[in-house]
Amino acid sequence: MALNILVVDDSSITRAMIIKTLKMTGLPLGEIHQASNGWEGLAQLEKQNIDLALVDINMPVMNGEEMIETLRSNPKWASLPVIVVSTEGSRTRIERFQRLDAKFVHKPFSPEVVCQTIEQITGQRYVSQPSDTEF
Amino acid sequence: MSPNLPTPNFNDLLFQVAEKTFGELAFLLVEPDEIAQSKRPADPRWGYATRVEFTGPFNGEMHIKITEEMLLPLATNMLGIDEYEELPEGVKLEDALKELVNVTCGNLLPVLGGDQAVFHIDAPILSADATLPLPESLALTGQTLLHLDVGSAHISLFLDPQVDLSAATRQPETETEARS
Repeated sequence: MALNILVVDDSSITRAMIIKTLKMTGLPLGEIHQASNGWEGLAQLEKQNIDLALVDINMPVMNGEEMIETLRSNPKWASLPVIVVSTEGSRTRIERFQRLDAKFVHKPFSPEVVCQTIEQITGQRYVSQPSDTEF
Repeated sequence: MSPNLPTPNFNDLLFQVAEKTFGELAFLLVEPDEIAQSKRPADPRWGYATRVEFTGPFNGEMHIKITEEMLLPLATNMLGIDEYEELPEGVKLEDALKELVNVTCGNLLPVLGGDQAVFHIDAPILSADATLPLPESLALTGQTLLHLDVGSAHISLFLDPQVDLSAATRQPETETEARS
């Protein structure tokens, strides 16, 4: 099943980098939607059928932490897989996101790390690993 | 120690974090000194500049200036596209520099403040004329110049004058590789 993904980041180039990286992972991608802050992200979730959200932390209007807290308090999105993509280096803050059932990808990121994290959080294996193709 | 004046340790920390970030984020590689000295002017002419402020256990600001020819490869490398390709809709070349300072600063702060410290990094601000005002209440704590394969970059770090970061300044010798 193709994944419909929401990318939330106030930097247009970061959104473009994440989308490019997603296309390099080999994951089955459906529609990719974008938002430039948490508030817009919530609006996109209302309008679109989203399977996974990749969310930045520091954003204007509504930051990533506020957005994820809002998601978790709404039964409709309480179990939506969320990955935080950020430069955040604080263990304290990363643990706060883990308590909100979000995974974390540190910038700079590679397609491999993004792919592995998506597979972890969705519990699905989408991309064959080299060891899967033994002769 | 006092962080009021630039010290070799802070300069090395900045260099190490910047070298790693530039390489991983945009595949920009630092040139060996002997090559850089023959290709790059000792006093480069800066084309673009950006700064980012942060608050937390201590406050500060990071500035990055780059030479004009570096912006296009910085952006296209970050996006994984060729230099003649069009940028994705809504993306400006200067966004790449803002993301560069954001990620470099984000990667430096845990080195300075430890992995328990929580900082807030503001949105980066681009300078219209490649100059940046010196922060009034902060002290220049470190600076470094990187000669890369596509141009040069200068990074400055300004911190609260009162902050004691003596633990961070020991890191280059104990936890990270020293600049070769």
